[in-house]
Amino acid sequence: MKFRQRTLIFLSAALMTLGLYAQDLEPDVNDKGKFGYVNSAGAVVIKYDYSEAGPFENGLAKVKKGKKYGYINEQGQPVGKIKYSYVMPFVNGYSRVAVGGKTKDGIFDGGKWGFIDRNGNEVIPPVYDEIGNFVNGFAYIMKGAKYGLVSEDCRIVLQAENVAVGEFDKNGLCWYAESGKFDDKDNLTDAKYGLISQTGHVLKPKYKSLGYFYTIDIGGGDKVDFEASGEVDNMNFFSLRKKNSQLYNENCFLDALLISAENDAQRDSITRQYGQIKISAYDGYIYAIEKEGRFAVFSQDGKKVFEDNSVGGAYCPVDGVILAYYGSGDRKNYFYYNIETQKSFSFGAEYILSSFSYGLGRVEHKGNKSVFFVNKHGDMVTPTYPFANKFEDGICVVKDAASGKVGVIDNNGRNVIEFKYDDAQKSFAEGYLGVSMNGKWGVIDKNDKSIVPFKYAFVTNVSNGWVGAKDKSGKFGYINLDSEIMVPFIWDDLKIISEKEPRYVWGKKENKWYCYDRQNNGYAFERCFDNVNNFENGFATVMLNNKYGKINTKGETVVVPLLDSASELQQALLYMEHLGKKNMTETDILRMKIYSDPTVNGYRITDTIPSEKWDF
Amino acid sequence: MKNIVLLLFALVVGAGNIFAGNEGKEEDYRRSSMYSILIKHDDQKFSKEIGEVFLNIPTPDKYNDHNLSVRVISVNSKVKDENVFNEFIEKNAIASRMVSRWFNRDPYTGECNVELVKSRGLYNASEFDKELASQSIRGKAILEDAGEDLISNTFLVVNDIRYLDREKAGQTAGAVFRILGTVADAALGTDSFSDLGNTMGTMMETLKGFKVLVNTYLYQLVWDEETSATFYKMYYSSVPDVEKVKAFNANRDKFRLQYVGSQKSSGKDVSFIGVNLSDPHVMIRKACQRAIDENIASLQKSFEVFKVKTPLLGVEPITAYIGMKEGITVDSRFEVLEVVENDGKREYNRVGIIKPVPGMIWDNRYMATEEGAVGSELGFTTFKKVSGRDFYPGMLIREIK
Repeated sequence: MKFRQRTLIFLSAALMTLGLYAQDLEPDVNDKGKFGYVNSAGAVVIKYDYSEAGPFENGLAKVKKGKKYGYINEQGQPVGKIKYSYVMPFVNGYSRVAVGGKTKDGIFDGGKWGFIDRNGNEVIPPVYDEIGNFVNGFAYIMKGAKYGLVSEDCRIVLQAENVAVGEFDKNGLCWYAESGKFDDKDNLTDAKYGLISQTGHVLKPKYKSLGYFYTIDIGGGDKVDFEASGEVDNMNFFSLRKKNSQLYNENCFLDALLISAENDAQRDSITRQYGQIKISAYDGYIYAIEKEGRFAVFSQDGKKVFEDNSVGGAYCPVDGVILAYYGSGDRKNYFYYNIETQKSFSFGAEYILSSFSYGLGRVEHKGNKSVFFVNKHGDMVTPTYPFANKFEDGICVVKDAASGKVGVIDNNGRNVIEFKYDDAQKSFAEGYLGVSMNGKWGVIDKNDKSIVPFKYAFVTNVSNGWVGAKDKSGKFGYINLDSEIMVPFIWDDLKIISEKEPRYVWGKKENKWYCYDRQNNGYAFERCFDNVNNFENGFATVMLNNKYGKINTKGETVVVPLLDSASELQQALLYMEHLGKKNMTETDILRMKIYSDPTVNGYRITDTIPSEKWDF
Repeated sequence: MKNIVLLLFALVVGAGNIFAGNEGKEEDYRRSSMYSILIKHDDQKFSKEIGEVFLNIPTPDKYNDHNLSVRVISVNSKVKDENVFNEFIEKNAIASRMVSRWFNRDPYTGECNVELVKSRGLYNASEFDKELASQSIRGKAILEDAGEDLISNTFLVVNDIRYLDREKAGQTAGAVFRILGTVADAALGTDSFSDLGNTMGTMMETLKGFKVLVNTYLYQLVWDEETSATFYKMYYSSVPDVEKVKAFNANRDKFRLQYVGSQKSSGKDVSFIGVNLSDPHVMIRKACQRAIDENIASLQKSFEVFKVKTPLLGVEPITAYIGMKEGITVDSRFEVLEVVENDGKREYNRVGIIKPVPGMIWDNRYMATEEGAVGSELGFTTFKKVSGRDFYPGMLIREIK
């Protein structure tokens, strides 16, 4: 019983010690200005020995004795030595501390930094001029303008011997540069880069450029693969210029383009053109260029899968095949490299190759645009077609050379739809394909079943279950896949719908865009515009006299069309939200323009500032 | 065994009480309103950087943002006409624009509303509208209350920030404002400010020779009975009114700002720990913001009209979101105020006095956390009662001498 009692009392005392804040101990100052600690009853528990005393946290308190800092426990005993010129709060059980240096007029300089643990042990001795903040579990260390990396559990993963280091990205990779120099804008130049993973080295620092492969999605289903050539690589190279930046950072693409902007109008234009681009980085492979022509591809664990001393550029490996080329400009000579067999194959300088897709490579003649497909060993799997799109979902729309007819093949080269159509859309959309026969267009599915009968002058691709069609009078309308008329055939043009069964559809007549209300089978409102976007969440962007604005589904103005660009309109919407308003009047917009006008704060004290620069 | 169970129980209950004093969140309360301007000296180094940094310094959280579009004006230190800033205020009709802001006045149509008054005054919105519309005694009292407690507590704070070279010691600071000191003497009938502009102030030593001198000048919007009555009668309109637009524009000089006082920065405690020294903007921002905050805290201590009222966060222990940024030291004393509403008017009654607990003063100065300052991790300051009855969260505290 007594043993149990003693154990329980011990546990209780331990619980008290482990409490987040010590209930009992508070710093207190005596009449000589010295600090100690008292309990809640006001009794002195730790003597007034200190010139500064912080609150207890997890059993330790930071104190200053004489001119030095350190920690004490709740018994008043020093934990480690009270010898530091500076002490930072504990993070993950470690505190950054500094020795030496001095504080003059509020500035601490000349100290050396290291880490102590909660027992006061110097797990990393204080020898570093700087230690950064922890990001993704790592921080930079600096000694004599050389950088390295330390982990949160105080492992030195990279010695402080490098001109610059990045930050670990989401794939656990971090770049570093053993050599190089900084220009007057603090960009690293002439560097040799290496890559380190969280467990050790991946690539030695001998590369003038390295990074991820990525795809640029410019919208409308169009994607462009990034070509790693050591020339313009916006995404990766932007990161490699800045200390403590992450290699995998999809925002870098736009940031890198904005560097070239000389003023706000250019920045605006670039943001407008490229701001909606989506970047998707492939995180399986890294490219690395040692010098011009000396090109390598590594898998993320550091294994080299490709190397060549005269390659002009290459694309991300797909299906175990790398697409690369020699030469440049119009004289690029493409070839494929099979990673498994380590063999390359090509078809001559007159052909353009595309990255492998569904196990096949697409080979197109530069002159007549004819296409054939090959497998991973370079064998032709199909004949040559006068036209062939790319494979999607394992099938491809192609035109037969002999008959001139269009059909569909699979990635074994076999027809899934015979060559019988006169013309077709380039690819299936939502499982359907627009095709024509005997001068009439209709829609078929992947099994060649007729879905929309062949009676139209033209049909667009299926979008959200509807087909845009042109009737014999040359007017456009929308039908669904049951051939029911969704929007009547009265329009010179129609905006492509962006959702299923929209109530409002924009149609063009005599060069102006009108809003058609399907629910009421008529115009939603009288107003028309020079250009429009589809309604989204009840609002649509409109353009009038080259100015942007916003309306609601009643045609009421939400933002008066006075903005010069789509990005300025976006600013206006954010500003409107900030103001808590439901619409922006002309005055609101003029105020918003005032707030972004840099000349407003450029007047002298002797000036009478023009009234149009004042918001009130 | 029973004792041990009780001991453990006490521990559990005790643990629950650790945060009992800190459960309340900061409630809405009436703040004064502030428009702050920078005077920068174009003939000196870092003028551009100081201007850029200043525009990113937010309004202190104890004040409502009452800024106008113009925030930065330039001056050449060689200007000899000392009345220039007074003239700037008058010829740009700053006081009338600050009034316009209160009523969200559309400069093109003359339309006004009282939405800002309602929200900053924490009035019940529908009751406010009803009483105003009925033109009742209570409605009149509400407007008077709004005038006294809100609109008249609107301030223009002018920060004259200069970079100074060590070699050019001895330059006179604030020559532009010397005449204003005299104006203030005449207006307030004191001679406390006549040394304005004759001293240099303490300079802040910074790395790489960067030093900043900050002089802060305080003006208060005049909103007396005559001014408010004239405004409501002659210029306020809830619908577009071309005649009232013309009348207001022709009579902007009827609105005035009154000079209150000034403060020079000392700045000796600023360090650059936690600052990335390769980014000068961070260094300049820290130097400027610390000095401005220090001056504002000193102005609060010196001038009753400029003092802030802060709500109590908790009462066991007594805590509030206020700290070294507002100038709290171990010697500070605060009165605790109970807010009472009487027929639409707010009154503040003292119900006690408190003082900060040493070692429990929050260091909430700009970048205190980055420099690992003692007290930066506290999040609030803890106080002890000196006198008074029981307090409850939401009561306001205000520093007293």
